Amino acid sequence: MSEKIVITGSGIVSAIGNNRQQCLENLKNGFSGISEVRYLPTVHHEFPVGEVKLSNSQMCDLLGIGHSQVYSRTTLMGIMAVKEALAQAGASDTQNYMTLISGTTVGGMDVSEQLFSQGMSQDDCSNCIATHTCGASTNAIAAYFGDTFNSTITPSTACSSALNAIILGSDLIKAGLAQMVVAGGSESLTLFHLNGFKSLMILDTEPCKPFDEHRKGLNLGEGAAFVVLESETHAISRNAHILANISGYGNACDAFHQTASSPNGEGAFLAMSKALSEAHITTQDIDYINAHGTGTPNNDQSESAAIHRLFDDKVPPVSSTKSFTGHTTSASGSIETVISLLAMQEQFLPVNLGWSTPMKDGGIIPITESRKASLSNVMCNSFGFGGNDSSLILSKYTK
Amino acid sequence: MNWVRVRKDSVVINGNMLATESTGQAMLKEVYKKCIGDYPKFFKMDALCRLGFVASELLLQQESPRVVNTEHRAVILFNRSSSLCDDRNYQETIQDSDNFFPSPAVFVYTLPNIITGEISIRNKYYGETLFAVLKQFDAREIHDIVCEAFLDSMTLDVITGWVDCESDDDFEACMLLVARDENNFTPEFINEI
Repeated sequence: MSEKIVITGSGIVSAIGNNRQQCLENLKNGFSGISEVRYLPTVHHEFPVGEVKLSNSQMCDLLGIGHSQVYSRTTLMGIMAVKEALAQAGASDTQNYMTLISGTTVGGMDVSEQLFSQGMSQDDCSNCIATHTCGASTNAIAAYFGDTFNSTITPSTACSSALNAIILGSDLIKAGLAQMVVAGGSESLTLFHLNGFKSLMILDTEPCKPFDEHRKGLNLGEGAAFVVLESETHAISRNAHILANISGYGNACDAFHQTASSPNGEGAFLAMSKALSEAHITTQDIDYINAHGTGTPNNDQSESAAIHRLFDDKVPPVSSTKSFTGHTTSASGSIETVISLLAMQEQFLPVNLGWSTPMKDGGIIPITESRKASLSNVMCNSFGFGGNDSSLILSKYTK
Repeated sequence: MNWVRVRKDSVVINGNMLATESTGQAMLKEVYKKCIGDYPKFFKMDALCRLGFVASELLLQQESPRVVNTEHRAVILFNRSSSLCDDRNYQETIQDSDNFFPSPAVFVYTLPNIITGEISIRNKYYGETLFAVLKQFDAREIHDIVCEAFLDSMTLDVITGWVDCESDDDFEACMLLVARDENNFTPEFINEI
């Protein structure tokens, strides 16, 4: 059996807080961060969103970045979350050593849109090329930390990107190709994907209601979250405090439709099954599932079917914390991994806001009242467009 | 090792030219009607997906029996133009505020890896899929990435190749089915086809 992969640091920026502590308090108190749009220059105020409650220039000030250089919002949020994760891991001063893996699909499109709406000059155009791509947003995060990172990778698998980043990071360490990895994702709201999701007709004009019979769609969100990964031996050798270990993960294709999930949740079922088998535990050992739970009719039906197939009539507590953060698309996998980690550390079950009516076709009944719980194994699901489905299991660390 | 090559004015399967009467998009439709014909979703696809779909169908028709419903086959494709062809089409739908008609049917194709999904959906492949955008055609890089995919013991064979669509009527695809123990799969072979 290969060595345990452990988490020694985490950082998060989302609609419910600019750091772990704020996010934790709002999760415990049931305060959602979904509200009327404030920072994104859209005309579509009818769709509530989960925005990070900071402007780009406020983020620059917090990070000590001058206003002369252009940073995308994806990069700024990413820097904030990576910084918090490195600090917790006690790894802020390592040199030329770590790999940064940041999942994103939007990348620096927010800057391009801004420049475009101002009427692009030739200079703007080259600035835009420098910040536009997904990889550029990751490189700009890494650049902020000087010599800390010796390589960067940017997985882009739509909404499962950040969870796949954590899976990839774990694989790199297992394969001996990296010693320490900071993995997660960052994604800002843009006009392009707000309008795109609007055109897919899956946005709700009210706060989303995951797993509710009357759910109408998702609320888009934004944010970033990262975890510091290393082997158990590596963590022990540098006296790092181990927060949890990653005991299993799975990724599978649904092979059904470019955007919709299959009615029986084949891809989700395969991903969760693989994660369980890799963790060498059974369905009975899972104490909580942080569901993908977007609040669209299609996802919640499909995910419910997959969970019921796997867990039968013994489904553990389930909630979708997208009712707090909105659907943070490519960042959702790591944002929800960090939320799951906080729940494990604080031993509580995050609730599913907005739920009141069970689905007619036997959907998941999520938890709606926060309570203390002993969490040893937590499953976190993240499914992408095109049925790129991933599932990760975090376990309480024991030597 | 079976292979196909589809250009804007020619289709070649394992070295044999397939007779066609038209060029560009019309040729893809002609080949669909003549040789495939049972997948009406073809007509919803953008140019890049039509190209990749037609190439994959012609390739898989060479296989007997045709393998479906497996997680042991990977789909690993490459190009240089990403999904620009459809990105432009989508941009046109949102360019003008007086003539603003964004459509989900166009939007879904604004990612190049939709074609790896289309092939997986058609054949029920649940295994590895990858679409990489390269600076230019690079047989060695393609070869190396496919060989890396075989490091995963679950992957027994790979549909790979180049599927590039600069515009609706200017495109090129070459696709091949590589088995795990295939000795003839070399950068030179990829270059030749």
